[in-house]
Amino acid sequence: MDPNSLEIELLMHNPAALLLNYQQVIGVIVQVYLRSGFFKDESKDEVVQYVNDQLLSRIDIIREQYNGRALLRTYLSAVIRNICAELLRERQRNSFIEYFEEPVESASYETDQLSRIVIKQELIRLETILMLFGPLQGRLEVCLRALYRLPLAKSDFLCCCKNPDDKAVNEAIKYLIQPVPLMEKEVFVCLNQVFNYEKGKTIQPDALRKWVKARTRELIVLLNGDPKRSNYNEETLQILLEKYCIERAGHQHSDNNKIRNDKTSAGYNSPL
Amino acid sequence: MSEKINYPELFGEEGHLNEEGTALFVDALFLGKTSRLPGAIRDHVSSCERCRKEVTGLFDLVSENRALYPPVMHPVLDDVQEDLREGSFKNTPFDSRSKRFFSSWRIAASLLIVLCAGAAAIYYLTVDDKDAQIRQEIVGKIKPGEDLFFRAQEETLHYAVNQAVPPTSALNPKLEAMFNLQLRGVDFVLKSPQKVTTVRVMERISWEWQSKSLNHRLTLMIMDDSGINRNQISLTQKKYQFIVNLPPGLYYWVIVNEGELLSTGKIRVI
Repeated sequence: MDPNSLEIELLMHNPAALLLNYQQVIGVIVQVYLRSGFFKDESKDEVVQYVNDQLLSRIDIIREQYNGRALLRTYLSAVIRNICAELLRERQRNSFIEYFEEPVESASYETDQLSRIVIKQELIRLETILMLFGPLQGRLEVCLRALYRLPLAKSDFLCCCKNPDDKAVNEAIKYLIQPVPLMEKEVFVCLNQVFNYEKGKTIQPDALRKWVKARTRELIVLLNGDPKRSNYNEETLQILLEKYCIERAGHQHSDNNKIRNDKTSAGYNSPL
Repeated sequence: MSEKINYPELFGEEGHLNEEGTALFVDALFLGKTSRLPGAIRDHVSSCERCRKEVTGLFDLVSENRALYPPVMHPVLDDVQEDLREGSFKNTPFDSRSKRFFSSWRIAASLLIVLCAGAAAIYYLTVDDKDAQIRQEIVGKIKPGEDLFFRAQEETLHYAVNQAVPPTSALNPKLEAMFNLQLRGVDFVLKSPQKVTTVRVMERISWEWQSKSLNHRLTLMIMDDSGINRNQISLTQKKYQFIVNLPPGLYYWVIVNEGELLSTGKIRVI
């Protein structure tokens, strides 16, 4: 029996044993919420006790609601997270708020091993968050790149437009990368010309601007986490996006090289 | 919207993803199989800010604690058993030396655990078994506002030690000496539990006491038979119900007040 099935079996027939197995997961999730600073007077063990109590009292509902679509461990983590979030909201209502200390800005900007790991994790988070936008991911990325004056290629437009007009795209890129920075409004007018061509309808540049601004705010909220774990703003988001573009370009470059090598070794005459 | 009707188990009453829907989305992200998700879920998340927030929150939680979520066969997303969770980001731009780094961290953590366990063993073997020392060691280390007194190491180490050394029925002479201490001149009457109590895993056990002079916060600590503190609870009222979230074995508990030992007992968890 695989571990997930085994845990489902425990949920159905021996929930006490299952919850005992989950003490470490509960402890870790509680710790995340403790870091938020709202559980000032409570130790981790006390909050863990509260979560256990809630889980025991909800066990029948959990059994009823769980349909086996997700892994039980991920599902129960969502449940535990929600219990902690409920408690957090209760604390926020009933007591003074004690925010966790803002991270002190480092005096040194040297990128050490740990920083690199943190950046990598943040890039993975950004990539995942962008994925959640589904079919709109490509468009959002193009808009943000244009807005923050990050490199844009024709292929970027292919991700967000079905049949982009070559001429319109070329003109847009040329216009966006000119040495003199464009006004924000001009950026959206330029992008809108490409998007409108694809859609065959007219969306106002201001509507696009508002949409991008709202998504930017959302990206910042999502990157900051719930409970809050980071302190992103538009400026730091821009820096992260820049790194994201660099990493992705590097990755695409290495992929292209790999494909080119494969083709060459297969006797294909590369035009390059 | 109509497609949501086909997946009522994944959506809540308000039309947003429920806990299982959110968990399924996070599973798919880790497995790199979002394309296998029902269209209703993908469409909803791509257009719903609230659900994106929920998914991101759970994703963060799981990704920060990957060791707790070992790769297993997924009931919906896996056709064949694959170790995908480990390599979920191997096709992303950010696949690099993380595996090597984390494996070296694991080795370092293991070495640290072995060293600390050895140091703890030496410590326990060399200390005398006198009452005064027991009092000093048990009670003297408890300071208000501080965390678990036996747990000087990292959180992970605490868990690792706990996992590696499950409580046994063997009696710890030091804790037995503490258990047998004569507690005199203390205005504290324990009504429950019994000095030695037997309970099942995840059952409740109640501490109830009377005292005229002790009105402020006391501390209840439960440690396993190797002396590792498993739980530390601040008692703000004269009754406290504890859910026994401990593996089967023998445990010792103490109630202390500002360096003063008020009561001791044993719990046998079955």
